[in-house]
Amino acid sequence: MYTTTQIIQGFLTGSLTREEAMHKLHMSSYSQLLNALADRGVEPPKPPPEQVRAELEAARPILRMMEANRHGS
Amino acid sequence: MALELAIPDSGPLMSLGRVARLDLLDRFNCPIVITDMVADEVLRGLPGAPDAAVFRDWFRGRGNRIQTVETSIGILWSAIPPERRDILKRIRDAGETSIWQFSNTIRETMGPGDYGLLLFEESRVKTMDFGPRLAKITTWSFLIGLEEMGVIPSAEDFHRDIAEANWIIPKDPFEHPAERAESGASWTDMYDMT
Repeated sequence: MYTTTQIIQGFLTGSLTREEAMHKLHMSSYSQLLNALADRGVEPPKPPPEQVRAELEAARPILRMMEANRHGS
Repeated sequence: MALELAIPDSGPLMSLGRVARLDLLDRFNCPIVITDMVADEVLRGLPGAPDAAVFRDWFRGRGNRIQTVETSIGILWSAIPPERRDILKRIRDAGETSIWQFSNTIRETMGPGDYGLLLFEESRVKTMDFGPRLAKITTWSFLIGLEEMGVIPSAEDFHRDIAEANWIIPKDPFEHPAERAESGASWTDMYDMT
């Protein structure tokens, strides 16, 4: 894996972690990596389904509270 | 069926010339093509450019490995009398335009799967259309590749050396493949990393 394209491809396919890709590309923030992806017309990788489910589960009480407030007002 | 031409814009030439590392371009196992307009820019010496003698020596020392190609804008430019040459200040992107003109020439003349590699620093080059036969790479992306191959110890140190020579390279890791290059083709396939 030599080129920046190969490094980014490695990140997108999961063979490199976000931190590994950023280290190889001399980046200090994830936003720089996102910019590099956008520059190439590439969407950032989607998080794994279990992470999405966990995040939704964590947000559920807040959503319920917002819904209750909406009906109560 | 691979990288057939390396085509540096004036930015990478000046960056590497600043730290006397034009030899990093010599490692491409293919001809190095410099358009007449880009050659003029580095030989004339833009503000902040290394002495033109660095480039003259490099051109001379590499014989036919380095080819200077004529373009319409270069021919027009050479026809302008020296006292009228301040007009260049009003011509934006003259070097990039000459490369664009050259890319039109090679568009239909290269073999299937063959392509050229444009090295550049100007950010507007990212959105310029050089046709399906040119891949694009920034100097910073090139340096990261050299670091990964072990050709230079550190892209960061290299960047700092150039900065100390009063030249700033944008840290932009942009690279774009040529549409008609074979899938998976990489400039590193044609680069001497020994």
